[in-house]
Amino acid sequence: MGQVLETGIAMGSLYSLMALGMVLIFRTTNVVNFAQGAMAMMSTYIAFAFLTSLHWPVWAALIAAMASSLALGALVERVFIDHSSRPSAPIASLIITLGLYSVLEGVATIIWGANPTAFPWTLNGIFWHRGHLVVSTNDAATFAVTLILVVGLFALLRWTRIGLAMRAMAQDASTAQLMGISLAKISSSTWALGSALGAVSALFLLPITYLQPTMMDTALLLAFSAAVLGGFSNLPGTLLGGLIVGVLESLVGVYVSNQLQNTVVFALIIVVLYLRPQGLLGRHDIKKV
Amino acid sequence: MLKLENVFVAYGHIQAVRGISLTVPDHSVVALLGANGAGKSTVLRAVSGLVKPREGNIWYKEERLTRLRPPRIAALGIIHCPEGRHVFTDLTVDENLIIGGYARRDKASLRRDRDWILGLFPALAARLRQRAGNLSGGEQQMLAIGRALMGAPQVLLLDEPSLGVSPRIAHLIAQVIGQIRSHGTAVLLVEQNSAIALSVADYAYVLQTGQIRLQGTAEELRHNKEVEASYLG
Amino acid sequence: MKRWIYPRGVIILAIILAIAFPLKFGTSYSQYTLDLILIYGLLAVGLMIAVGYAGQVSIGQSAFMGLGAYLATILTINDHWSFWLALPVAAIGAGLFGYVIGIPASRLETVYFSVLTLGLAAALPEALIQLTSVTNGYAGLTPTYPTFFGIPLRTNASFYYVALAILVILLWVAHNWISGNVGRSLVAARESPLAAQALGISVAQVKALALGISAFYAAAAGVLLAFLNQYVTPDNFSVTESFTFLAMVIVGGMNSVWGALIGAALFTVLQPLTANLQALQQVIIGAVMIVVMKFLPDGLWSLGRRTARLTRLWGEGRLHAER
Ligand SMILES: Nc1ncnc2c1ncn2[C@@H]1O[C@H](COP(=O)(O)OP(=O)(O)O)[C@@H](O)[C@H]1O
Ligand SMILES: [Mg+2]
Repeated sequence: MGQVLETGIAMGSLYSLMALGMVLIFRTTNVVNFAQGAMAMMSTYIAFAFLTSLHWPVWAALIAAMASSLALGALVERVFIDHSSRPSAPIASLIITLGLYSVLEGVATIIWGANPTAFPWTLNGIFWHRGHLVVSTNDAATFAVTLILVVGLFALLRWTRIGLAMRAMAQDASTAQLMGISLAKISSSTWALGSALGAVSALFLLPITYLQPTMMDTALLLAFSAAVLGGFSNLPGTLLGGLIVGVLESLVGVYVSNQLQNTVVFALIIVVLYLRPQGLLGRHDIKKV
Repeated sequence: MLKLENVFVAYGHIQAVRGISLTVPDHSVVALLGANGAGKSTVLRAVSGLVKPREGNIWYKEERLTRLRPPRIAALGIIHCPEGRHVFTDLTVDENLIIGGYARRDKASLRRDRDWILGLFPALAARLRQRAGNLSGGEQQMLAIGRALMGAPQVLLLDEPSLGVSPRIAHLIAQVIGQIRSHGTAVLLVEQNSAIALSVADYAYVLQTGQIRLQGTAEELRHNKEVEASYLG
Repeated sequence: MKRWIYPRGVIILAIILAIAFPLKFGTSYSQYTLDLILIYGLLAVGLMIAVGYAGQVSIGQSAFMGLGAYLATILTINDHWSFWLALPVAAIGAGLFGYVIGIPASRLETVYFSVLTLGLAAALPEALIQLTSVTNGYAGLTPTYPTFFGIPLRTNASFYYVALAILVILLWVAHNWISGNVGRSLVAARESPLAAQALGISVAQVKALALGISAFYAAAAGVLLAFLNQYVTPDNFSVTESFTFLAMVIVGGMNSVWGALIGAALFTVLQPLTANLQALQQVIIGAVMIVVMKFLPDGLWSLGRRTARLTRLWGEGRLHAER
């Protein structure tokens, strides 16, 4: 049982990171990024390419992957997202991110093939154990990195100029412009940041998903349900949501069936939407249609 | 000096502003009066770049504002304090002030302005850590003005600051507008409440259905019975 | 307002299709493709109502399609229902399911709707595999041939008439929905939710209804597909199918029945060309969604209409005045 929880929390941390990236992007730019998982997948392939084709050292390849994920986020925002205030703009952007999801997966398959490959570098070994409870090195690193990123993200939003601008834009973009905030800049920074959070998540998921074009499909769905648990706006709620989803997945996998993840997640989304549409920690003043 | 030349603005088929020319000299308070729907807010939105005029030009010194995006215009020192306050309710009072100074880098002068603003509105000083959403309407209006002042405006575009606040606070705001002018900032003040506006303004324009119907010094308009009777109210 | 020339246009088209194609192509492969066009056309029209009219991007059509296909198949195999009864029951069942799950999401921003339907699309194949006792798992099921007054409809051509008849009937139903109260409420809800609410339209309910309608059409299409192929497996209803369906509607035109039909035809015809290159197909479908949304948000149908108008104006020498 303890082990099931540990695994669940480790996986959940990664879903939280994905979800935090999506919620950040959604709050600030009003676009749901369905390509979040596919973009993260691309970044891990880029790390793979640097490692295997260019024979870069691991640390350099990982830095290259992170840099490319930041760039990819900003690029997608610049090129594809509809910033007009047309009433159909959110739908157009949503469909565009769906299209991007499809394109990226297809492109990755064409370049690297559909078969799962082991990433050439992993964090092996056991970090800590007592009795039956084992914390692998990968899990320990997951916890540490998640903690650092979450604290960093909250600090960024709370205390930095750009973080303040993101929050202002999320709340009232038009007024934010009047403060001298360039929506374009904040918007691409947010996408870059959100994309990078997804990439970190993908890198740590590698030992489980292996490297393959569809590696993030399930994670995307789980991250979406974490976002729903966070009411698509509340960041602590999203973090908590990711952990809950991870633990739930782990419990169902061990005690029911490991082929029912998606079904359980779908049921969870439905239940949350009926019972707590504003999310776990959300206030009642959610945006309604 | 801020100068509008024959400005036209439309929202789709609605012609909100139809050929307005006006001037806001440095160090002056200019009032823009008119009934609800006359096009006053639209004029301010055109100046701050939130809407683009169909025709006409807006100049600040040598710079043509009509070509610039809102953040650029704000960085030039033309700060728009919008109608209905629009404070960032999820941010604290302090954060609202900080974001008001977003475009500025000089820490020392920012601190000086902040002290000055908290002196103008002591009520804000006591609530710096509170969510702006928890402030009363009057306090939110003060915060909106304070936030705009944090941008070190050369020209302050102030939209209906007396709307929905108590007479006492409206009076306080009128006084503050005087102090802002003495601070060296020009003010383009939009108001439906002509008594308040004319008590602080040097010069005033009266707008009706998107056109200027009347203009003159505040003194002249104060004694002009037509103003109240035909154009306002 | 969206008006599409219903009865005349569709009846003429139906007659031409009815007479021309089966005679010409017999039971060949092209006949099968034609059957598929009708089936996907049906699905696309339903999805068009959700996306174009209600502004709700459903990624769950593959699931509704699968639900319809499996329900009808099971009803005919296990309970010996007639195809003609199983079809409406499965379609209505899936429609109700769509409506019920659509209710909570419809009260919220569009993103919830898309996430929910994505979840559904991911869950259904998995659930079908797990429910082996009724669905036969990976191996799938084989429905019995539909019969028409005792004659089994075994050929692609005979099936073509069934699909065509159902398509015409359901297009007529869609036309009535769109041009009637439902359509008006949907447009009102989309264009200005507050005003619609003031008129006593429950925005959430009409949106959920739109999902119900689209689920109904997808399920009907799923039933036809199952009986045409004489085979259903969970693989037929994966999430990628939903992407193709969305692309059909988007390419054709989100606001018109004709656009949806054109999109369905286009993708059905092109599909075999890239059948061996699934990845390339994914790229094309995604790229098409992006390009159309960016440069031609109203789809090919609008292009056709615009060209027609421009040529007419040009013919009349009025092009300048129009601009
Ligand atoms: N965003 C908008 N879209 C359409 N029409 C608008 C919009 N904003 C204002 N209007 C119209 O423009 C006219 C002028 O409005 P406004 O400038 O707000 O007037 P005022 O500030 O004097 O009350 C009014 O008729 C109003 O209905
Ligand atoms: Mg106004």
